[in-house]
Parts: sequence; structure tokens; C-alpha cells
Amino acid sequence: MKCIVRSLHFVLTVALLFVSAADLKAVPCTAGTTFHWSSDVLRWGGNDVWTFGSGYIDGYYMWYWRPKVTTTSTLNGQVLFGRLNVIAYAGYGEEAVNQWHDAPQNVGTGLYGVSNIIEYLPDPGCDAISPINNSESLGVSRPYITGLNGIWWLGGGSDPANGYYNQGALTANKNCGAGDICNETPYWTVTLNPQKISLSCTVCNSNVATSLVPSQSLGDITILIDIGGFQSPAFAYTVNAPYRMSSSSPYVLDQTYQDGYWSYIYYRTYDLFGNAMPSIALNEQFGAFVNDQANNWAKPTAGGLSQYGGYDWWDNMYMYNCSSCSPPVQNPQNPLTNNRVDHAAQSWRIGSSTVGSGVLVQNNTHQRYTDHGRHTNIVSPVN
Amino acid sequence: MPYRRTFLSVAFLCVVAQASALAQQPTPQDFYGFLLFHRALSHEITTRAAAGLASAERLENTAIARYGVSHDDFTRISASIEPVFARLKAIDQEAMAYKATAGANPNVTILQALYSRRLAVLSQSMEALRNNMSPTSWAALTAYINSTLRIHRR
Repeated sequence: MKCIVRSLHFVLTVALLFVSAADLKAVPCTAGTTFHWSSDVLRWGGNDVWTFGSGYIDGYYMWYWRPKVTTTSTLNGQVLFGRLNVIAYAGYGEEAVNQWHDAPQNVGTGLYGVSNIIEYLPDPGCDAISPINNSESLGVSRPYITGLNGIWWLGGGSDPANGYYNQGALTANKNCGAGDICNETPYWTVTLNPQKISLSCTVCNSNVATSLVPSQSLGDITILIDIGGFQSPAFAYTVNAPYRMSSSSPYVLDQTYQDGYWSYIYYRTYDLFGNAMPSIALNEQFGAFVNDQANNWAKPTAGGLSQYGGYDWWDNMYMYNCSSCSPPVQNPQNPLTNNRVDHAAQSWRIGSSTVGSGVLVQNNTHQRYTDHGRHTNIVSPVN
Repeated sequence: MPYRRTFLSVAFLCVVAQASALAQQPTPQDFYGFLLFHRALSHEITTRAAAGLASAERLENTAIARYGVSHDDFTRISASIEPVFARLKAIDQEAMAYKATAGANPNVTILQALYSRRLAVLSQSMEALRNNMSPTSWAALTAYINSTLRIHRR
């Protein structure tokens, strides 16, 4: 009897096992059902990097599965704080989501990565399916500014057509990838010495800087762009300016011309940083002439020079073809005389050929003698 | 010339096919995927806004740009979501109740019927949203769901 009971128990157990197996086959749980997932790193704004992973089930058997997502987010291979194997579960018919939005301005630049394991947890009786393993990454770099990193201060006024520009074009480069969304328009700020330049616009893709006053040192002005809070590196900017004049070799050359003389006073112009400046417009201006002796010499007229070759230019002090001059004009003597005729304050401005315009770089005395001319009492730089 | 005509015909068909793909309405399933996506995004925007973060507005503007819809239509999308999920949830609860009674041997016909009702809710909701949005916004959103979103949601 005991043996029969045991046999019956065995038969029932086997039968139950077969029923369970039949149940499993009866509920494959995948027919008409789609297992969705997402795993990505997106640039969702200039200063927004979105890492996420998600999973959900849709279809006839969507109520027999629960999604689970395990996500790790990294930056440059380092796990972002608190983002190692973060697990999200969802109920039947729901979506399991892990998502973070990072601001590259705060978190940093480089390669953002996300690794997701998306699992679909079956109800008892449903066959398991393989999880999805997926990793994605996205490089994020700072925006930056391009353009020449300096302009000239030439005393204000319009931009002279001599290659020394008092305005410069700047372009914002968002530095976003093709698939990135960087829809913000760059915001421009002069962060250091903003009084030295003006920008043509604040919220724009390209800009024009105009000089207002000269720099004190190289790169003493800094400009930033900002896209959604993500700032570019500082763009160092300089407003250069003519600064001083210095005699060049030969300093003077006195030449005989007809009954009188040509005295060439040679100069080079230097910028704020000691660089000799090639051809740039300049002009002279005279104060009142003071006679050193009674004379009837015609007074020179102040003039300007729009351009010249190379670096050297000269002031031509001359007097000739003047038979009625009193005192009489002479050819350069050897040695030169010290017979002063008249003198006037003379100032030199660089950046314009218009008398009185440009940057004042030198004051001197314009001294005329009967046989030559000279600049004396030279003060350069002036400021 | 016959070759050329054939080529032009093929090219024309390709253009027509592309245009129809763009104009094709999303499936209810794709629309559901979009709703899930938008709900997660809205949650982030709402969280930021509640914290007083300026980035909430930026994120919303980015989403508007990404979808290609107007601000007003974006608001309409956001407003339409939770009622849809509420209706879906009711069906889900019904399905769960059925599952509890059916045990390990559910009648797949009943599951199909429940799922069909879900799809019907999604179709109706999609149609309602379409009618509530400008044609331009809807066309842009359709293109977004049918192209960009499909890349991210597999």
C-alpha cells in the first residue's frame, strides 16, 4: 500500500512537472511584444549634456515584464559622482529611466560616457531574454573665439585705409558637434578692462571690436563668450598704439639745395611694445613761431604724410630759392652755423595725415638756422 | 532617353516616398515612445523650475527647438500628457486584474484586446493633440518622432 501511495505521489509529481512545463510553453511572453530601450549621451543645449538609459515593454505581454536599467555615467573615463551602477526599476507598463543633465561649465569638458544594462524581468513562467548592454559617448569641448587678437588705437575717428585697423572682427565658435543641439546665441562679455574696447553686439554670433583706449600691457583685455552658461576660454586682446618716435640712422642729413638747404630729420615710429611700425599716416602741428632774430622768412605750413616705404620717414626742413630772405639763407656750412632764425613748438601725431589728428607721440622744438634745420628739446613718448 | 526617363521616374518616386515618409503619422507605438520621452524631459524641466534654476527655461527652449514646435504648442504637448497616461493606467490596472485571475494561462485574445484599447487611446490622444496644434508644429513634431526619436529609442 505504501508502495502504491509512493508511486501515485511520483506520478502526480511528474504530472505536475509536465503541467508546469506546459504552462511555460503556453506563456512565451514575447509574442506581439516589443522590448524598447534607449541609451545615449546627448548635447541638449550649449551647457547641457544628457546621459540616460531607459527601457519599457510594449505589446500584448507588456504586463508580464518589468524593466530594469542599470546605468553608469563617466567623464573622461572617471565615474561621475554617485553614478556607478545606478539602478532604476519600473512597474508593469511603465518605463524605467535613469537620466542626468550635466553642465559642462561645472562638471568639465572631455568625453562623456554612459553604459547601460537594460533588463526585462519576466514574470514567473515567462522565458528570460538577454539584457541589452550598450555604451555611448560624446565629446564636449568649450566654445571659443576666433579672430585677430588685437587692434589699433589711432586717436579715434574713422579707420584709415593704411592697414592699421581700429576695428577687428571676432567670431564665436560654439564648438558643438553635428548632432548636438546648441541653439543658444553666444553672449559676449569683456571681462577685463572693458573700458578699452567696445563690442558691436552682446548676443550674436559674430562681433566687431572697436578700440577706445590703448592697452597697458599685451593681452590686458579679455573677452568671453557664453553659450547657455558654458564659457569659452578667455580671449586675450590688445589695443596697440603708436607710442614714440626715435631717430633713425642717419639722424640728420643736411644737403645743399640751390641757394639754401634741405635738412632731413629721420625717424622711426614705435608701438606700445617697442615694435617699429611700417608705413602709417602721420602729421605735424606747429605752435606759434618765435623769431630768434628779425627775419622775413616764410613760415612752414604743417602737413601730413599718408604713407611711406619701409620703416623710416623724415621731416624735411628746408629753405631755398629765397634771394630776398633776411637774414640770407645759406648752404650748409662746415661746421654748421649757430645762426638761429626762428623756432616753434612742433608736435607729431601718428595714425592720420590730417593735422592735429592721431596719437600724439612727440613734442619738440622746430628750430631753423640760416644754413640748416633741427629738432631740439625732443620729448617722446609724450605720455 | 528611355534610360533618362526611367531615372527621372525613379527619382520622382523616391522624392514622393520621402515626402510621404515625412508626412506619415506616427504609429501609436511611436507616439507612446514619444510620450514617455517627453514625460521624462518634462520631469527634469519641472524639477529645475521648482528649484528656481534658469536652466529650466533653457532646457525647455532646447526641447522646443528640437521638436520644431512653437512655444504654445510645446505647452499643449506637456498639458496633454498626464491625461493620456491616466487613461492608459486605467487599462493597465484592468490588465493587472485580469492577470491576477488568469494566472499562468492568460488568454492571449484578451491581452490583445486590452492592448488594442491601449492603442486606441494613443491614437485618439495623438489625433486630439494634432487637432490642438498648428499644422506647422504638428508636421515638425511628426518628423521628430519619425526620425530623431527613433534613433534614440530602439
